[in-house]
Amino acid sequence: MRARNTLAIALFLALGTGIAITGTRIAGHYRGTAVELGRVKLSHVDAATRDALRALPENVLATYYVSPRIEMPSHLRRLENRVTDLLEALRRASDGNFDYQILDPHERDQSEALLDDGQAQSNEEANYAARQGIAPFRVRSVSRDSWSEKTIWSSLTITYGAYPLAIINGLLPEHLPRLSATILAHLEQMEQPRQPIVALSAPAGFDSLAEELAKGALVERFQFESETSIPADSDLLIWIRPGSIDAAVLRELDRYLASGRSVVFAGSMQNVRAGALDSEGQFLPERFETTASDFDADALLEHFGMRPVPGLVCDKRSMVYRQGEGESEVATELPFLIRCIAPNQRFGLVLKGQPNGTLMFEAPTPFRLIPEQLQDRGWTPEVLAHTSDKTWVEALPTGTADATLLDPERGVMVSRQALITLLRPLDPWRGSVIGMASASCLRDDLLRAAGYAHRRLVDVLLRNLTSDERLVLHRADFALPEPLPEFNTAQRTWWRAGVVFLFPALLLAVAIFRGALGGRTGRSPQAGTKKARLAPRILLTLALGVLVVRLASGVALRADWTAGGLNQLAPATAELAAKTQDLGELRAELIQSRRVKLPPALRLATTRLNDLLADLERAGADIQLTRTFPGDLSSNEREDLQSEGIEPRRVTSREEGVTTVRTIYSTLRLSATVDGQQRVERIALPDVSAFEGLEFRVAFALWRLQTGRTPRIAFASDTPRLSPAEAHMDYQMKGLFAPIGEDPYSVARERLSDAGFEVSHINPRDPDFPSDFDALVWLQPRRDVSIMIDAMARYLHQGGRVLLCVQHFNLQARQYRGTNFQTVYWPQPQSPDIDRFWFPELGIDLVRKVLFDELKTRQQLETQVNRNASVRDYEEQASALPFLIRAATANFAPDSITNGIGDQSFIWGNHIEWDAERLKELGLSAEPLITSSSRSWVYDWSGGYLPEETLAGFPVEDAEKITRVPRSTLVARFSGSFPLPVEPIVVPEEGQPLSDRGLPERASAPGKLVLVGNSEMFKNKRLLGPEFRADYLLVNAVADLVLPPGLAAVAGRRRVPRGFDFLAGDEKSRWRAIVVAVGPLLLLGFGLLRFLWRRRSPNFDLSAGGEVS
Amino acid sequence: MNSAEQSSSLEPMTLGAYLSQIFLITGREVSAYFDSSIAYVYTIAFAVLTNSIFMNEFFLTGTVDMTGFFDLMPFLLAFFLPAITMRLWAEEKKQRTIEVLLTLPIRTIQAVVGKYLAALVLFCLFLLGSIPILIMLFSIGDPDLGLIASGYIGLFLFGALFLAIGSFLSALSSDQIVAFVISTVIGFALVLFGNDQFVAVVDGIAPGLAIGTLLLESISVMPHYDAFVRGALDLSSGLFFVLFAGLFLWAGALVLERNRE
Repeated sequence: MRARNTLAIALFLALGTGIAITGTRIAGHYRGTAVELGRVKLSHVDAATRDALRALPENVLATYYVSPRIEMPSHLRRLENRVTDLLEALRRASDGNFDYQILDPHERDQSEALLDDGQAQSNEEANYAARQGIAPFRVRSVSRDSWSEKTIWSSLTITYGAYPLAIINGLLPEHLPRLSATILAHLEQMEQPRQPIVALSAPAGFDSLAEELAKGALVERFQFESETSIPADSDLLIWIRPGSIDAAVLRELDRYLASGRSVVFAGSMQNVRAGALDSEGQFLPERFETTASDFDADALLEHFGMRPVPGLVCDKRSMVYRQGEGESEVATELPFLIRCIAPNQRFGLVLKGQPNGTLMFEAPTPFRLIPEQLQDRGWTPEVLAHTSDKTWVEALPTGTADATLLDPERGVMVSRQALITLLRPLDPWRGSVIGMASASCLRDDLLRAAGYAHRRLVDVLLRNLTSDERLVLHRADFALPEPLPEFNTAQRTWWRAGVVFLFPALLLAVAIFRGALGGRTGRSPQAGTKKARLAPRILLTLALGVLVVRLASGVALRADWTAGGLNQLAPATAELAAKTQDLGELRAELIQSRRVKLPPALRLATTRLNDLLADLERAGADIQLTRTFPGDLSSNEREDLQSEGIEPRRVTSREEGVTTVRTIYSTLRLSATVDGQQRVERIALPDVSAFEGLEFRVAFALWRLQTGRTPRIAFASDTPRLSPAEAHMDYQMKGLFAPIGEDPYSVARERLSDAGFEVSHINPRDPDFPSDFDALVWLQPRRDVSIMIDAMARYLHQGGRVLLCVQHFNLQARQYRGTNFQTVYWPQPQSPDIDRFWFPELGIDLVRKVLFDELKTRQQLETQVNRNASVRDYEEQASALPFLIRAATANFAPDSITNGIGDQSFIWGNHIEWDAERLKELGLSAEPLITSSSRSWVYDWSGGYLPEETLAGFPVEDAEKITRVPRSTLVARFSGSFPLPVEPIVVPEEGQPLSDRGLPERASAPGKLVLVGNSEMFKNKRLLGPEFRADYLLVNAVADLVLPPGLAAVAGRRRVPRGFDFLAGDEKSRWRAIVVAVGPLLLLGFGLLRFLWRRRSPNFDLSAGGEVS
Repeated sequence: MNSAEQSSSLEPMTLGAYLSQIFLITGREVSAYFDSSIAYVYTIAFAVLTNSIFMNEFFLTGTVDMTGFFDLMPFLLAFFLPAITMRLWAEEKKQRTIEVLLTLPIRTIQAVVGKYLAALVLFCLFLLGSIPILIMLFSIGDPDLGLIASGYIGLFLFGALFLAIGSFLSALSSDQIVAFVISTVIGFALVLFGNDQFVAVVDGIAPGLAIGTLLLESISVMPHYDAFVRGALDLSSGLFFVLFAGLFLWAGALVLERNRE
């Protein structure tokens, strides 16, 4: 009976559930039944929209191109319904003026697409979509517990009378709140195209700019700093020579950008006056004077994830002042007046159009990109213009100085510096930011100067930042979340207290009033009093407990169970600490703003420094920590700090939704007197990321104090360039200059510098090595490499240490209209040429075949979308194909280079092979350090796009051009006596001596070469990726090459999880089932056994719930 | 002779006898857990939930690491452990069985510790539910055993403290729901006090006082728990859990003792 009842209940429950689900699904088909109470309505239209639609003079047809639900990744499966709901709502509200259709342009599978005669069936919808310029795009997906990608369609076109078609590409759920307003804005823009409005905030001397802008826009002049609000109707803010920056200014900028409008700012931290009159009134062109400007570059750039490059930035490609004529002509170089020639500009790669001529930057303040902060703030940086590869930085001269004394020898050679940077928002509905390192090219005297492309620059900026698409976005009347009003601390506290405690307090009062907190249970009235009497006793004991714990925290009784002993000092650090007693008085001075003035995150991080110094002291360091609060110092003392490079930094942070701008100091200064000589090391700790690897930074600083030397790294990196064919087709045939490329490895260079190495930039085209450098880092050789390879071979022969990171291809994703925008991959040759020179003599080969691995990762890759012959868009799309190789920790050899680097992403990497016999013959040894998984393969590419089968997964057997290469080496170390090239690689011109490039002749000695089959991973946008940290590999490798083994091992002491080797999908599913189900099943089994055992007991009573009486 | 007098007049006994009485209560409680559906439902729900959350990202992250698991646990335990402790005393009071229990020839503290140990056994069963994760990690990779072991010790101590707090609050209240809600709120507070964002916001209210930092350093369990998760078995962190767990058990006994009067 009881069993029948249970069965009946179960059946009813199942039936009820089925009815409820079916009912819900049926109700879902009735559009417009939802009631939306919020301001943003996704399936209803407001009165204004209804009126606008009904007033349309002609009919509108919206076509939504969308992939079928089943082809969509899980997170996009409801997209079609939601878009359709909205379109249906518009249709209903329009009184017949608006209609829509849904098209599925998805390519059919081959089996579906074949006709009886075996001919491929044409896909009309896809062809039609492609003709409209609609392209599918790739999004991330998960397939069998692995990252995967899906190519989907989701675009909307709007046909309105005879107006040109409007297209909204890449429609995703996050765009839906704005979609209705965007459609209306498109219709409005078609009917009444309007001129953009530019808000121009500029001091005197920029009237020509206003006139130039007025040719394509309405110009509203205002003063941003004084008015603190940007004209609401403007589409673009151009802000010349920004002054002081405070939180209100930054908030206004954020609000403006959030509305989809863009910002251009231009300014330098210094003003320069070139030329002076001598006492006799004669003009001296070489004299110049610099003064600090009002531009608070620190605060503004930091807000956007960049930092200014301080000092006087000079370039060999600069303005030359000529006096006199003929033989009496005197040419004076003014290297701070930088001429940025067209090949040093990359507008054409990112924007539509390019200035295609020279731009002048007067004493610019270039931008240093901080990838973590840029990512955190939602920006993708693109350098649009940069200095040449002969750039150096000098200290700013005080008073009048002589330009003829400015020389690379006096300053620090640096790589190409960013002069114009575009920050593209990750959210496409947000505005962009363009920063210019100097406003000189927009100034009255230079804007229209002959020989410069300044006016074209203004035109390019205007056309791109106020394009029709942008204007439509600005026009779309979308309800942004209301920004919070400005609250002071007291107001915030009151609001917080009110929101958190008011209701509970009221309820408590009611409870007390009703006597609900004790009287009802019939307890004696004294019960509450008794409990209350206990309270002091309990609280006192609690306080005692807290005190004991705090006292115990001073006792360093700690066991460390981590495999690498990461919670205690490394033996090398402890040894260095103990040796500091030989240094005499070692002082550690933390020069830091008071705790309350620091950003909260920095306050917490500073405790790690205190712990580390305490550990050093316990390890035997005679270290005296003092704290200096620069706010308490006199201005003279602060100037002294500044003179030794300890400067305040303006930082912005957001707390409780409020932007705060702070000026802070945060530097650790270690000093000691060795042999009567004062040695000082400074460790800058301006933000939380600076505390990463703190033990290594401090240990390395102690080592430098003890040894008195800082390892010097010669850092050579070439810039990625277009192939001759690309340059010809895309630029020269259109009468444009082809760009020669920016420096993509600047962050890698800074990372080494931050770690404590002295880094010198080497121009691989014309290398000039610094004296006594300790290692050469060479990232991505590019043709012509003969000079560098020759120098490197000689250096290794002399016992040098080299880190060489190189790959053969960059895989470019492309979509062409003619093939319905199917994605194809072209391996763009990088021409490193190391397979041509010297390496073949050693028997070392970086195999020139495209490498794939089934152990892969995912990345956002730029895809070239060729909508028509003249329009080429670059879109970031998800990719998870096997050329994005994941090098897992499981495939690392134990070594100081691979220690603590975590899994690495070898994007388009190549593998390394060597002839062991040949190496042995030469007296060289090879150690593989990182290998691919057991399921890697190569494709012997010789031209064209990659065939589909190369991307299909691990091949069952080798095929033509496709070979399996399990566990192939991705990183290897070669040690021993490297021979000189058999034939000289560089032959001097006749009559000219061969330059030694700063490498004097030395005797042969054992050298060390670390060869990495990848350079893409070290590029700025990949180096500090959230999932893979290539900078760890870089720092470890350099430390291994130049530091004593113990200290080098400290560099790898990081808490990084270890990756595992390739697992097949079935195996993953099996493990998932085991982990989730085994525990519960075992417990259920135990319960059942227990039940059965107890059932055999004579006292068992089932009616009492199985109780044993 | 009332129960309080009875408790204080109990004969001195040997340690073995003292402990055996505690274990007797523990045994009966554990048995009660397994005779009803409590142990099965709680443990299965907890294991399925935690292991599913862990597995959701595991293969996509691709690392043999349990840090994510240990980071998640405080939030789940702040909810699940009060569900165990809420009934420890509140139910006894509600059903008036506490009077029977406290008239037995045992000390109040023995009853408190006995019931607490039973809850601890159930909590250990929760932890055992994650053993398949360990088996998987060691089968497919080379995880840091020391780090994982240390994390489990931290987790055990964390649970031990939260059970003691829950037991104390259950002793204070005669209503299971009230005991559960207050335990959960206090549990989440102790966890949240260790959240960087929370500390930054609270510090920002009165920067000079740095209340958030004070709460973090004095009361929050998170710095101590994190030390274990990082692989450091620190004296002060160990003391924190042990002392405070002992203290709340003592306080619970004190409250029940007064109830006896």
